[in-house]
Amino acid sequence: MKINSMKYFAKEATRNVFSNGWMSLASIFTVVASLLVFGVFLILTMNLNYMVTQVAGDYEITLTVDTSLSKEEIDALEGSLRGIENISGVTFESKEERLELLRQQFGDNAALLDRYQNEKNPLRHWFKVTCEDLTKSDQTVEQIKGLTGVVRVISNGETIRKLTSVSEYISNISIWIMLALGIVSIFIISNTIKLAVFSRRKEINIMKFVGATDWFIRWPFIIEGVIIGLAGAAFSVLFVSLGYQGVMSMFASLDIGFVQFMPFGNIIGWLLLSLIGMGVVMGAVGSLIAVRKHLKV
Amino acid sequence: MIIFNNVSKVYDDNGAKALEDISFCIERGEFVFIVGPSGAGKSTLIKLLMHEETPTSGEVIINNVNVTGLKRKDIPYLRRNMGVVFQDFRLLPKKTVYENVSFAMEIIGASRRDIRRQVPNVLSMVGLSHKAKSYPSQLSGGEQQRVAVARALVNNPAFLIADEPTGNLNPKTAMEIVELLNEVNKRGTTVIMATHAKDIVDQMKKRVIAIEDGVIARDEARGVYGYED
Repeated sequence: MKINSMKYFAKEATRNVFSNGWMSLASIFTVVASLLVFGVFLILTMNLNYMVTQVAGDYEITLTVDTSLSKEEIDALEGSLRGIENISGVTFESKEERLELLRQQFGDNAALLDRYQNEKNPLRHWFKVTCEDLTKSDQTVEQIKGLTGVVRVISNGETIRKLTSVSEYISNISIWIMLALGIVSIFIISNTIKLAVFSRRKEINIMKFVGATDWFIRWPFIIEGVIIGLAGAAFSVLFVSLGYQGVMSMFASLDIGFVQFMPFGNIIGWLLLSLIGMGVVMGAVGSLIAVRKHLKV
Repeated sequence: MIIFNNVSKVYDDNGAKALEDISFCIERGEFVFIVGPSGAGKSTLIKLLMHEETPTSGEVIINNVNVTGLKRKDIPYLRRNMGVVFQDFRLLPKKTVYENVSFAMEIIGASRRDIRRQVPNVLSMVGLSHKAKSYPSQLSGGEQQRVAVARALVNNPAFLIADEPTGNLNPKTAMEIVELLNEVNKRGTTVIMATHAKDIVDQMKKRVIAIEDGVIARDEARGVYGYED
């Protein structure tokens, strides 16, 4: 692209934005409206995933081990546990360690446990296992059950899996809603640009006769669309950021312990990236649609 | 050089045969009138020249290039070889005379320096240097058409195509525009002018291609209009 032409494009595009001032403003507001909803869904999804990973971090599978197993057999069992693909961590607690822990938990009443010392210890050794992917924890549990020497497998997977599936469900819905909003915005931007194109159709016609390329005619309108998209995105990022911080401080003052929001610093990057990206794409695609019809001369 | 080889054009939408088996050749530097009654096919001929339409059969060759199956993206470069003047001038009302002309250079990516040098040149050639800052609405019809001619010429095209350029002008002004085109022609530009103006054609004594009902009725080197309409 020639420098001369780029100057021309920029000049034409900004002139278009201002000469259709009210229409541009209306488009910017529509973009803001749809990007606001988009941003809210984005933050909602991100926070849900964040909370789920927080909760899921506590998830572990506990398996008790047959008392008759020798030291070597226990080591072998640990080896095969580590061999299971989805397992990210394995810790072993012997029955002696468990009893000691119980004593600590009993505190002043620890004497109650005195008669279970040494050979009379009724507890079993156990392994605590953490999973990489919670959605696959069912299979992992089955795999563990299949190992020799495992007596019982205890997991709180059901609760966490429900949580995960709810969060996935909401993520999926969010994606569709965001997609639909994007398409709606594209058509609204495209309408504004159509107006600009229509008011300049004579000019486009002349340009075609003098030998302007299609892209030469498109660029100013694309830039116009991108300006509208960017302006909309800038406002939405501002509003969503302020809103998020407002909601965060509100919850903080309510002091609800279990709700843990994603820190704003982790969000702003994604927010900027996706809203500005969406704005630019919507603007450009909207313009392309608007100009298409008028290029056929 | 422009060659039409057995060109026929049938419009898809109504099946009307606009041109049937047309063949002719226009040499570099010629001045050619295309005449004929309304609806005879003059406009279709111009559209084929500009690649606004493509022939149903036959071929159109411009400057040794067969443009019949030209790709869409190459059409603009073909059009840069030709300047066009229309009956309704087609100037941009919100641009000055100067801008209307420089616009044609901007859109092919000419440098600012070339534009500053070339635009005053063509404006003085059409005799409108003193109106450079006027707007089209402040000009007479003849002056507006001169601006259109200046715009058509500013990129130094090989051909100038004029579609009824005098249709909206009074006889005296019309004659002035044709004199201007003749001047352009003398400088080496091929001029092709579709017209209804009997007086002009008869007076100029140039080559005349007459089209009737989509076929060439006459092609005379120093022809006359030959219709009484």
